[in-house]
Amino acid sequence: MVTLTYNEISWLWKVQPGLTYIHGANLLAGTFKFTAQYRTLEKITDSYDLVIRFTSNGILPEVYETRGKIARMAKIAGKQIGDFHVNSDGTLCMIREDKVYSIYKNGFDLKLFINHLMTHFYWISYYGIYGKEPWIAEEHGYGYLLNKLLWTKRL
Amino acid sequence: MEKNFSQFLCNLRLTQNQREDAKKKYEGVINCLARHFYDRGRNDSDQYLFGSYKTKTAIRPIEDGSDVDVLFKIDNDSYEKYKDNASGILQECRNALKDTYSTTEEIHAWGKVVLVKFSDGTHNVEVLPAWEKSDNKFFIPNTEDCGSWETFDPRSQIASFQESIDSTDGLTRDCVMMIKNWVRNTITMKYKSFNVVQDVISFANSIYSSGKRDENYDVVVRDFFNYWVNRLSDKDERRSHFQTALNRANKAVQYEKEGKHIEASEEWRKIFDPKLFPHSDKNEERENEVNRFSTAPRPWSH
Repeated sequence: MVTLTYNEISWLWKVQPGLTYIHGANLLAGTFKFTAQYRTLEKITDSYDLVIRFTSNGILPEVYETRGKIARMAKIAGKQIGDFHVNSDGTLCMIREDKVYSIYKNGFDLKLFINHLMTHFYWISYYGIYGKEPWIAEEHGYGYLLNKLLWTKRL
Repeated sequence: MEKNFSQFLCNLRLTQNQREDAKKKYEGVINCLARHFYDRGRNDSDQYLFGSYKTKTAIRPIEDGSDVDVLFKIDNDSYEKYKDNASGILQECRNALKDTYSTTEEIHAWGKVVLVKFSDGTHNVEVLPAWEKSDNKFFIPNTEDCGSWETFDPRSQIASFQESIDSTDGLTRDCVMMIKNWVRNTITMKYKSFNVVQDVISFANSIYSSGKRDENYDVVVRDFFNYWVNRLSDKDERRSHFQTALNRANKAVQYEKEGKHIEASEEWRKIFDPKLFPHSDKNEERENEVNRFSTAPRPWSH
């Protein structure tokens, strides 16, 4: 299970002072803020209240948005919350399971993860504000596994 | 921007004098009709105030068409007399009012109402003669298409509006007032006040059902435009106006987050009446490090 080191916590405090590491519970909680821009698309400044729980299930922690902001964005857009990549258990789904190691080649890396959070929330904010995806998201569900199997059989 | 919006709402609200003027006028009209129909002065049960003066969503400036809407309750005898002659009751009301408001005011009767247009250029009064039914709804005359009587239920409209105000801690009322100002400022758009109220209720009850809490007005108003852009059909001629307002609101919210209050207020002053929405005169110096990226993982969900 991932636990954060003193150096990591110090670094995090500088880049995301709104997030606090709660050692006993091994989680981060607070407000994640960013100003970001993808290619030539609009610059977005936004923030989300999060709980980020480090568990022994997989490399990445469980991320929960705790203020209902994403649910509200989905309602405004007239869409389901799953369209904003929130799973039925409330966790955010930031990457397809089979692609985790393409980003986290050496296991969990806090700097990579914070950057990943920033790009993920840019996507969410952009979709909520402009009603279109800034870049294509994965298809929902496990259909990709079937496609992989069919492709493998073809070979 | 919250202060700007608070000041804007103050600029929209009627003054004490304006509210008193409106009350004096509609009570005067009802008093006149009560003397004619019942041979006595007005009492509170003779009337039912509805529309923007009842819901306290009438806004400044008072324009032509800012009418106080009030029902005058006719008795069974009057209803029986005119039940086959809808225009007759309107004409009798008009004639009764002309005796009092003889030279300086214009009085017109058509459709469903008698309009008393005051010469001071402030509030006019639109009075509907109405017969109250046992189910607490009203029968009102309609002179169009050869004339008939139709059911009108202002109480349920007022009740649903009041319910929304109570549950959203007043946000519904604030939004109605601001959106009415936007509509006035968007002169090529046709958007009736009744529909504004219904649309704001629908939005507020769905998205801010417990009020705005610690959310800012600029985000709430932006969300209203976004909500309806996502619901209006392409054929609805209001859609392009909503989209234009949304584009400006999105810019304004982003400027505000960057501390660019001047630019943010300028965007809002393109949406709302610039004579009423305050201008910000100072930006904040903020270090907004922009994270630029060109590749990113694709979000998923299972």
